[in-house]
Amino acid sequence: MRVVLPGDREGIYYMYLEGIDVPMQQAYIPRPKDTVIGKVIAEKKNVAYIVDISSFYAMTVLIKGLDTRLKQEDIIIGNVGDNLENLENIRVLKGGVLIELPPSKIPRVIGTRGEMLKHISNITGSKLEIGKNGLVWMNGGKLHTTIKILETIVRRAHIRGLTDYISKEFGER
Amino acid sequence: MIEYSREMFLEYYRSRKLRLDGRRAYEYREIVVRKGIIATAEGSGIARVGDTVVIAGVKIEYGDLFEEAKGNFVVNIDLSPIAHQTFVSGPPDERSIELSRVVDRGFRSAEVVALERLATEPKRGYTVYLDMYVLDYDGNAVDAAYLAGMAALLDMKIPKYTGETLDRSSYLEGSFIQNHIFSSTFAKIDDVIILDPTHSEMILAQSLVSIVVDSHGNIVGIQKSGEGSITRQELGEMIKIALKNRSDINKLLIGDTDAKG
Amino acid sequence: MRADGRGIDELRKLRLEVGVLKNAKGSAYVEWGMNKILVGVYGPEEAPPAVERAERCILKVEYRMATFCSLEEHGKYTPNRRAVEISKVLREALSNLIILENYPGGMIEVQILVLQAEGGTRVASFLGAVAALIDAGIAIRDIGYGISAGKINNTIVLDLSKEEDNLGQGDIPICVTRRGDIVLLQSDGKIQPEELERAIDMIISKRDVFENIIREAFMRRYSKELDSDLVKVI
Repeated sequence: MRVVLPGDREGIYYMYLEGIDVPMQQAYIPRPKDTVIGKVIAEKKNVAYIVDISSFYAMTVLIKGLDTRLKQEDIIIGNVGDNLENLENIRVLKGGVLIELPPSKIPRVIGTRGEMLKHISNITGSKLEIGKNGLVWMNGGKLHTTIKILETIVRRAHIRGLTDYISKEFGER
Repeated sequence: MIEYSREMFLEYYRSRKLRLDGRRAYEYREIVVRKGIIATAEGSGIARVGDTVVIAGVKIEYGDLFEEAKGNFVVNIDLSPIAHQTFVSGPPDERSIELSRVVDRGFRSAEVVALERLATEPKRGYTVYLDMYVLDYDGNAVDAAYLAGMAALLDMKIPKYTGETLDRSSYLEGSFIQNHIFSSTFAKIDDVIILDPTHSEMILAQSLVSIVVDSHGNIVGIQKSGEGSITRQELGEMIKIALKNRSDINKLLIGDTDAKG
Repeated sequence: MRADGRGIDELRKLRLEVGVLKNAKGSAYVEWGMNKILVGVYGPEEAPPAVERAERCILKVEYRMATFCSLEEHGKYTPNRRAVEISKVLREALSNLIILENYPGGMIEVQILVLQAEGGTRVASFLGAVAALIDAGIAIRDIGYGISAGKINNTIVLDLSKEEDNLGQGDIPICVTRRGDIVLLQSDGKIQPEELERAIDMIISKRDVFENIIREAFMRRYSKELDSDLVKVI
């Protein structure tokens, strides 16, 4: 298992494990169409809401076209627009628990074709919404177990047999 | 970061008697304490309570005393910016100052350090600086600070004053520790009382209560903060738990158990 | 020849661990000689509104020393002038490595806390900061490292201990990128131009040593389940 460091080769800016295409750690940079989760932190009166997505700039939700008003502290999920500024197709996520994970681990939380996500829901009964920016929202079911599973995925994302490990540790429902 | 509303916490707790991290109401997170980790200090300790880590270091100086025939004892805790995204450097805010004073109070009231033995003349003697830094923060810095501070004091060695300077390679004989203390911090969220709150639990709490007890069963420090209120029964219950925690400390600790009192 | 018996280009014992804190986005812990230094990185987050929306990310570096970090007296609670200068030169050095253009309008914060000090804290902090930035997943052009060179008995030596710093004829901390570009350079004392050249040559020749130190730190972290426990490591 070899470690690739920034600058080892042209175009390498993060740390990689040889053989794994995605960096082990990567701060989130918004791309068009990304699904992200954020929190409303301010309102530009009658124009837009400002949404903190835990990145180096906040996103904007235009009030025109919204069928519902948002309030401060609302958790919302949406898609990054082509202009990289606006959040579109937004839905409000009521109640539940919001947790922030390293963005580079999100693919592992989802799994191939969403398999890990299904696995988690089967075990705990929780419903989850996943943001590429590392924010995960969950509601219902055994939430404390869901949180523990997510933390386990973050700790073991780079280790083989993760799905089986989770089945063993947390049991199938 | 984990965030949830007060309603979420209460709904989950009332239906399952569990907190969102799976703990019961009076359950501590994992506690690890070590001492003797900083060679430049005249005593050091580090404690982890869950994901909160506090390091404590003692430095000894010699000079004028504030109080006649009693060594000086100065306690300070720093909410280091390294520990949490909301901690900033600069002059301490009210939260920082309260924390320093709360941590100072327990050590001072319990007379953990035999300060009378640290005066060499009525107006001259040793100063014990006990400085703590929060290095990682997930709620309940108070209990972690007391554990780290106690470990640092147990590790403490007082350099000899030669008459001119402090000889930091030669130490006074004997122990200057005459009491052991342990802190238990509670959060009250509506009518639910929990021990050792995480950061997400602390921000939902209307009241926070820290109770410091010594090895003789005395209460040596209490602080209630927050805009809520507590009932007499709730206080009684918390004191009972705090005393039980103090005697259960050996069971709670993993790591260098020399740090226990 | 040297008080502790080291060769002229021999480094003190050096240990680097990454990912030792839970909250900071990235973190590192450096033990170098008697130095014990903790680095935490936050961000990239949105820069404060008071600051103009910049084309590049803002970098904030804060170097602080614990009051108990010195073998001598109890330190001050407020940062002294030395700490302010070190914060500045470290910030400027690290600006070369971070691809700040990737995060316009953002801010990255590097927090350094020296728990135990023994000469060469700024170059040790630089190493910790490089490792912590990689651990935080911040885009870095290349790794870097630094060594404090010095002059003892008219000979250039590497990695001054505190004793050597006090008794020697000069202290020259230098940080470089892996490619050999100089990003931090300071000196005091009296040195000949050839001696400075020699110091730089000797530091550049240590490139592989530091590359391995950083690589192995990440290898250790990922060879098992991720475990962020400073108390275990310190």
